[in-house]
Amino acid sequence: MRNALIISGIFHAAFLIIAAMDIALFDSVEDSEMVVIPVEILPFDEETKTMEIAKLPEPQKEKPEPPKKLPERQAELPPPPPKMQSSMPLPEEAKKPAVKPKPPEKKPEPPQVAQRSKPKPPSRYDADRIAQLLNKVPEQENITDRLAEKFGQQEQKATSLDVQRQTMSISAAIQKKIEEQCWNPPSGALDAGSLRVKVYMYLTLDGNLARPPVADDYVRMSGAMKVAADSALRAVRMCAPYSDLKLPKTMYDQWREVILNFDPSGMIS
Amino acid sequence: MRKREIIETVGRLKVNLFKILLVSVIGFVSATVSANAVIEIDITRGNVQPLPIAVTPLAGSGAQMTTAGSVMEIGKQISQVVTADLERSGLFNAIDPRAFINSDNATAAPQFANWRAVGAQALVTGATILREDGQLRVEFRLWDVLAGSQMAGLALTSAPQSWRRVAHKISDAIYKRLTGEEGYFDTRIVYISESGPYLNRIKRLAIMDQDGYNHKFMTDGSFMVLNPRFSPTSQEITYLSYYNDTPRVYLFNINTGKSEMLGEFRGMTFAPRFSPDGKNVIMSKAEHGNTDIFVMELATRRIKQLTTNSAIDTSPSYSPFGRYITFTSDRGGTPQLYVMDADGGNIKRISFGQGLYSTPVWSPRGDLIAFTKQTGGKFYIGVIRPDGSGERILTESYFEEGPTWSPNGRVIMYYRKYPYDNRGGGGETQLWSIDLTGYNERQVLTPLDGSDPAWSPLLDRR
Repeated sequence: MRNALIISGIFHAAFLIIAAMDIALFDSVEDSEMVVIPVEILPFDEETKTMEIAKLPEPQKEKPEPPKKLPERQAELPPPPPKMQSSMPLPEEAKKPAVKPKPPEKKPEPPQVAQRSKPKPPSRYDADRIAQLLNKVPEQENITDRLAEKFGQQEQKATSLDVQRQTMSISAAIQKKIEEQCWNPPSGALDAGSLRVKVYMYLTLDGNLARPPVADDYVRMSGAMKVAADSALRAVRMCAPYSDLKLPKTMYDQWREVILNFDPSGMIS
Repeated sequence: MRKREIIETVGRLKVNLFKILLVSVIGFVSATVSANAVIEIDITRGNVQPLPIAVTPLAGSGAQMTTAGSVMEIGKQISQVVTADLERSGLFNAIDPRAFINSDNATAAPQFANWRAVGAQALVTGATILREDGQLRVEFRLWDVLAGSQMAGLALTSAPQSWRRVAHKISDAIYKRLTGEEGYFDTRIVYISESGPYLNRIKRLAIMDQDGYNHKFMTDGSFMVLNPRFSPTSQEITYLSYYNDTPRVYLFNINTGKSEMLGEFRGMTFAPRFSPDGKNVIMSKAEHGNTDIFVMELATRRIKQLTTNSAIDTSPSYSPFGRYITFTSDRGGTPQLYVMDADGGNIKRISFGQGLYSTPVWSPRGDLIAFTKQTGGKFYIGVIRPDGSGERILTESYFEEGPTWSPNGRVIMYYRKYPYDNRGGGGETQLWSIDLTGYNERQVLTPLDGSDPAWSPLLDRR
C-alpha cells in the first residue's frame, strides 16, 4: 500500500508539474500574442508622427478642435449621449438586477436540487459514515460553488448578449454615418457595381483615425478598382472623427480596428 | 483513515487543479477571441455626387511673353479650361476660386487644411514655364486633399498656341485618375452645321473641339452633306454628299481638305461608318427599291454584300473589335435593331419594345448599343445591351436622333429638332449630350444650328 501511495504520489507530482508546464506554455503563448500587440501599436505612433511631421502640421491643429466641438455636440444632443452612455453602464447595471431577480427564483431550486441530491449521496455515504461526514462539507461548498457557477454563467450569458447588442449598435452607427454622410461611390464605370473594396479602419479611443485607413490589396489595384478603393478611403477619412458616435470606450477592443466592406452592387447595376 | 484522508486530499487537489486548468483555458480562449474580435461592416449605400475639386490657376511669370500671351495668362486660361471640362462632365463640382483661402503654387506642398476647409476633396496645382526654345512646359499635380497625398503628376510640353490641347490633356489625366475611365476632352466633334429657311436649308460639314472651340467649316454649303463619321485611326471623315443630286459616300481628309468618292455604284449609298481598325467602311446601298448592307475595303475598294434580305437593312455599326455589326431592319414588319456577325451571318433581332428603332451605334467599350426610338409621337435616345436586355431610355423630346458615343463610352451626343410654328419659324436643330446614367443633359453650343454629330476618338489615339 505504501508503494501504491508512493507511486500515486509520484504520478500526482508529475501531473502537477505537467499542469504547471502547460500553464507556463499558455503563458508563453499569451506573451507571444502580447508581443504582437505592441508591434501593432508602435507603427501607429510612428505613422502618426510621420503624418504630423511630413505633410500634416496643420491637421494637428485641427485635431484638437474636434474635442472642443464634441462637448458642443454633446450639449446639442443630450438625448443620444445619455442613451449611448446609459446603454453602456445600464446593461450591466440594469441587467444585473434583471439577473438577480432570477437567482431568487432559482434559489429555491437549489435547495430542491440539494434535497434531491441529498438522498443520493446518503446512499453512497451509507457505505461509509466517516466519508459521509467528510463529504458533507465539500457538498455544501459544492452547492455554493454551483450556485456561483450558475450565477456566473447567467452573467456571462447576459454580458455576451450585451456585447453582441452593443457590437451591433457600434456597427450600425458607423455604417449609418459612412453611408449617409461620406461615401460617394464611383458610378457609370464599366462594371461599377462589382467594384468591392475591403478597408481596414483604425480608431483611437477618442474616435480619431489612429493611422491612415488601408484598402486591401491597394498596391496591386489600378484603373476603376483603384478609383473605387480611393472613394472608400475618402469616405473613411471624410467621416473622421467618429467621436460623435459615442462609441463605448469599455468596448474599445471591439472597435479599435474595423473592417469595412464597400459594396456598390446594390445601388449601381 | 489516513489513507482515505490522503486519497480525499489528493482527490480535492485534482479537482481544484482541474478547475484551475479549466478556468485558465476558458480565460485564455476568451482573451484570445476578444483580442482578435474585429467588427466587420458592410457599406452598401452611398450618395453619388459630383466630386468637389479645386483647380488653382497655374503659376507662371507675367513678364514672360509668348505668341499666345503672357505665361501667367496662359496658366490662368489652362486652369479655366480644365475647370470647364471637368464641370461639363457632371462628375465634378469645381469650387469657385473666390472661395480659395490660399492659392498654392506648384513649388510648395499644398496647405491641405485650407483646402479641406473649403470642402475640396481633390486639388489641382501646377505651373507654366517658358523654355528657352520657346516651348511651353506645363506641369500639374493632382492631390488627394483628405489623404494629403499626390494622386497624379504630369509635365507637358507644347507650342504656346496649343495651350488648349494641353488643358484638355490635363483634364483627361485628372478624369482618368479620379474616375478610372479614359477621358474624352482631347477630342473633336464633326457635325452638320445648318442655316437658312426650312425649304432652302444650307448644310455644311463643320468640325470643332468637344468644348465648341476651334470651330471650322469644311464644306461651303453648295451641296448637301449628311452622316459625317470619324475614322477611328486617321484624320479622315466619311460623309454622304448629294453632289450632282446623287447621294454618295465620300472620304474627307481633315489635314489636306480633300475629299474623294468611295466607289461608283449603281443606286445610292448612305449611312457610312468606319470599321474599328479604319480599314473598311460599312454602308447601305439602295437599288431597285431594296436596301442592303455592304462593306468596302478601303485599300482595294472591293465591296462585299453582307445582307440579302428584301427588307430595308441600314445604319450599320461595328462592335469595338469588329466581330459583330448592329443595324436597323424592317424585315419583321417595323424597323427594329438587329445584330449579326461581321460576315453577315447569324442575324438576331435584339429590340422587341413598342415603337420604331433606328440608328444603332455600338459603344466604344462594347457593353451597350445606343439607338433612336420613335413611339407615341415622341423620339427617344436610349441604350440596350447587345443581347437585347436592359433597354433604358435616356432622353426624350419632340424630335431627336443620331446618337454618337464619346470615346470612353460614357457620354452620348445627339441632335434635337424643335417643331415648326405656324409662321414658318421653328425647326431649329441643336446638339445635346447626356451622361450614360441619364443625368447631366447639356446643350453643346454651336455658332449656327447643328445636327448629326460624330465624336472623334482621342486625338493621340490616331
